[in-house]
Amino acid sequence: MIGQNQLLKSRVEHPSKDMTPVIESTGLRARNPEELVELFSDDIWRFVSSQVPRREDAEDIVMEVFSVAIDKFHKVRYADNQRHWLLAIARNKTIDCLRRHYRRVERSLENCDVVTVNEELTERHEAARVALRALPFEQGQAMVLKYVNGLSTEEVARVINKSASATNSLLQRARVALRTALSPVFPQEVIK
Amino acid sequence: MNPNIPHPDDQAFIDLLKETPTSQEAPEDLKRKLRVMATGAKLRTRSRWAPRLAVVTVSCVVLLAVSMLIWPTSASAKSFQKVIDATNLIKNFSLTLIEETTHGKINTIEVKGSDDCIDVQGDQGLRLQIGKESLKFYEPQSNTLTSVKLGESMGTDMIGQAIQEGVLKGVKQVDIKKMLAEFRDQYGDKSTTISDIESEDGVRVYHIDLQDLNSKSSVSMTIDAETDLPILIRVEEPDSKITIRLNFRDQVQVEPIEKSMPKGVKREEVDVSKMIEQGMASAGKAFGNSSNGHGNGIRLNGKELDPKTMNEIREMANTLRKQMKKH
Repeated sequence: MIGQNQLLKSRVEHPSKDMTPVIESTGLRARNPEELVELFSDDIWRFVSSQVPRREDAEDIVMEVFSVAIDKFHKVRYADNQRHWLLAIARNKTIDCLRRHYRRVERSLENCDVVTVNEELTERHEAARVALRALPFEQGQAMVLKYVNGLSTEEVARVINKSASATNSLLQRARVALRTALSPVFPQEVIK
Repeated sequence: MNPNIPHPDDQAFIDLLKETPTSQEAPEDLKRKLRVMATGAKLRTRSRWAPRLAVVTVSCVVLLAVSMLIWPTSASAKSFQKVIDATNLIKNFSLTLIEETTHGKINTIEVKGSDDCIDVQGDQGLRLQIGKESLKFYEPQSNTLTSVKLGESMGTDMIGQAIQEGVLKGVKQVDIKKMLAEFRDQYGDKSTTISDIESEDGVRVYHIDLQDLNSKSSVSMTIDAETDLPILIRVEEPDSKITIRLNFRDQVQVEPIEKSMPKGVKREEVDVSKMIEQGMASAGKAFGNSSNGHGNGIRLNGKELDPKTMNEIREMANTLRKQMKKH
């Protein structure tokens, strides 16, 4: 499996290329539940933990996702794309969790409290995390699928059940929102 | 904006968001729990597969491709009828057939069909391509590409009909019409269930299940609710099982078979139309009627070809001959 680090490294080395087809072309397909866990647990974890602040909640969601997948493995086995199937389930579970436990309020970054303190993370990434979580559900999830999980726009569209053009617009709005949120903090940096 | 073109800010956002997950890999204790859950899962038991269809692998796949066009009218439910109506309009499709043998071996065969061409590819390297004017097949054992020219004077409809009839006749081991008739008799209205529309893998679908409790056999179909076309068909019997995954949404491009031929491939050509022009006797001699006494063996240009792979060709030619006779 192409790991996220490898994907990011490849993107850095070949910035002109969209690396998402590489992931798609690997054609990963689990033949049993054990393989399903080995192949996709990291990917699902990255998607969920990008959005859910509490680690315990993220773990619960990942457990729920694989519980459903293993229970319905006779369907997953023959799904067009097992990864998309799992991500779609993870997306729904994450929304359920966030709606249950977290109140998401859009607000400017200056007023945000940086709740999670992790010394290993750079200030920039921490701010990005907070800004990402302040986005509306769909925008945040589309951004994570695109830039954390490395899906192409078409694949993101399939997972979030929207057309490619609608997804593209969603991503565009999300990028603008992130720029707006982070430009006061990093005027010279990433968000140009 | 074209969604296929990467956004110029992609790299910046990748850098920005790469650390948003708590970690790049799932925590080991979580993975351990998942593994335990996966290992302890009781999967739904599946019937063992019988090698019934393995007898004529390539022919069988063509057969199944054809069967989509004449799927059984076993249910009177409105939605099932919709499916049958929808499949009658199909000209462009791809399908993957998965056959599981009793030994757990999985054979996968792919079929692509466009407006004027059907391409069949087996996992043993055997390949068959049926076009408007020719039929070509490649045998990996002998590394031979045989082209059967059907003739420009024949219409597409006639060719299609001939191919269907020919293939159906050629595959005596699995008579599709008989099988479909059995379906119709076996699964009545009482045994047919049609589900509500639901979202599955991001696609709105419904399910049609034909279940025979007496013989423990079933046919289950997953139907795309937008097109009413099947995207998954499973035929499950106590001793066999076939799964067919279909795709009607994407435009199918069938590449000429010559493009993927290995080096040193031997080429054989047979011009059926010329044979027919020269007289029905010639065609009869070349195909079918002139079986040379070695079982089903057929000689072309003095060389004996594999009788199994040539069987359907022979029957097809016979059908073509009959069609030409009518004209």
